Amino acid sequence: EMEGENEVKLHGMWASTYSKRVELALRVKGIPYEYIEEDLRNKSPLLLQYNSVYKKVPVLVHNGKPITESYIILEYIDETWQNGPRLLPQDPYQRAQIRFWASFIQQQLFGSFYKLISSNGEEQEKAVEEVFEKMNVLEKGMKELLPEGVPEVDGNNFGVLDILVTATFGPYKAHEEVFGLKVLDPEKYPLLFSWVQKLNEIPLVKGVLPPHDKLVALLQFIKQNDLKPSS
Amino acid sequence: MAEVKLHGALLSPFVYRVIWALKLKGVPYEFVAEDLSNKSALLLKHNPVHKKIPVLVHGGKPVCESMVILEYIEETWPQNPLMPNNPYDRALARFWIKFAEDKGVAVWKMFRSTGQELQNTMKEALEMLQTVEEHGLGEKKFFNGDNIGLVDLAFGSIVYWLQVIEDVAGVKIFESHKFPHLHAWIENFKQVPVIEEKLPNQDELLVALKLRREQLMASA
Repeated sequence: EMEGENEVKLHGMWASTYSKRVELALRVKGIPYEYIEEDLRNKSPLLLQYNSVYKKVPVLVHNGKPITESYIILEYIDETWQNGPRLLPQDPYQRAQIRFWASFIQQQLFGSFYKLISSNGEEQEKAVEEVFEKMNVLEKGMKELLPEGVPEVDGNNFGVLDILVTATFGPYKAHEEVFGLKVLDPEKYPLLFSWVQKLNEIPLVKGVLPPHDKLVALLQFIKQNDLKPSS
Repeated sequence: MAEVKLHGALLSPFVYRVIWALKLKGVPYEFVAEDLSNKSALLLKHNPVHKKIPVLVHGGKPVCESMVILEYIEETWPQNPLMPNNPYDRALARFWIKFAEDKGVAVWKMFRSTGQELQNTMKEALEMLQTVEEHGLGEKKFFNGDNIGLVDLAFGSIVYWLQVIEDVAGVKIFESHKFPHLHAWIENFKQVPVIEEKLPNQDELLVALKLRREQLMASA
C-alpha cells in the first residue's frame, strides 16, 4: 500500500456491540479513521449501498471498498495492517479455536441474550436458564483456552478474544441496571469476570465503550417500548 | 505428518464439505463413522460444546464446526488454495460463507417441516437463493472465480442437498428459469473431478432422507 492512500471510514452506532468491536481493533492497530454515526431508524443511503444484503452497521470502508460483518472486519484489519499488534495468532490451530469461540459467542450466546430480552413470563425464565448455561460453556472454554488464566492485556497486547469480551461484557453494569439480572456473576464465572475487570481498566477500552448513563437510558427506552435491538 | 481423522456420518452435508476440502488438498485421512443415535465417547470428548459432526482431529487435536474446519484445512495445507489471496476478496468470501451458515438453515428447516411451517421455510430458502443468485454468484463460473473454493463448498452442500430435499418434501423452489446462474453453477460444481468422485448418490440420499423425514415426523 502507498502512504497517504489509506482512507478508512467506519459506519457505526455508538451503542452497538458490533460497532465497538471494530473501533477497538482500529485503535489497537493505531489506524486513523473517520467515524460516521448512523441513525438506525434513518439509515444513510451510503450505508444501504455498502451493505445491500443486510443493511446493518458496522461497515468498514477502506479506500472506497466496503467490508461488512464485524468479525470478518476484524480478520480483514489484521490481514491488511500487519504492523503493530496482531489480533489473531499465526498458528492455524489457535486461529481455529478463536473462530470457534467467536462463532459460539455470536450464535449461541447472543442468541440466548436475544431470547432473554424479547420474552417474558415462563418463556423468559427458560431463557434465563439458557443464558447461564451458555455462560458456563464459555467460562469453561476460556479456562481451557487460557490455562494460565487471563494474560496481561494493555493497548499493545489486545487480541480478537479481548475485543469480543470487551464489546460483549464491558458495559455489563448498564445491562444489569436495566434488565435487573446479574449475568456476569463473579462467583459463577470468575475467569470472565476478572478478565472484564482488567479490560475495563485499559484507557483504550475506556475511550471506546459507550458512556454508562447514555447506554442505560437507551436500553431502558428499548425495554419500555418493547423494541427489538437491531444493528 | 500427523494423522488426520474425520468423525462424520455420510448423510451429512456438513461432513461432505470437509471431505471435499481434504480431497481437493490431497490430504489423506481416516473416516470415523459416527452413529448419530449413539455418539461415540470420543466424539463427545472432541466436541463437548456441540456434540456434533463433523469433527476433524489432526495429530490428536480436534477442530469443530464445518466452516471453521475448512479455514483450518486451507491454512494448514496451503497447496491448491481455496480462498482468494488478497484480504479484501477473502473478506468477501467470508461474508458469503457466513451467509451460507446463517441463511442456509432454511433448507434444513424445510426438511424438518410440513404444512404452514414448510411454506414459511420455503419462502426463507427462496430469499436466500435469490440473494445468492444476484449478489453472491453473479456471472462468475464459481464463487471463487475459475476454480472452486471454500464458498463453493459451503453452497455446494446446501444446493445439492436442497435438490434432494425438494423431492423428499414434495416441493419445488430451485427452478432453473428463476436461478439460471445457480443452476449452471451447481452443474459445473458437480462435474469437478474431486466433487464428482465424492458426491452421495442422489437416489440413495433420497431414500435415506425420506426415511429420516418420516422418523422425524413420527416422533414430532
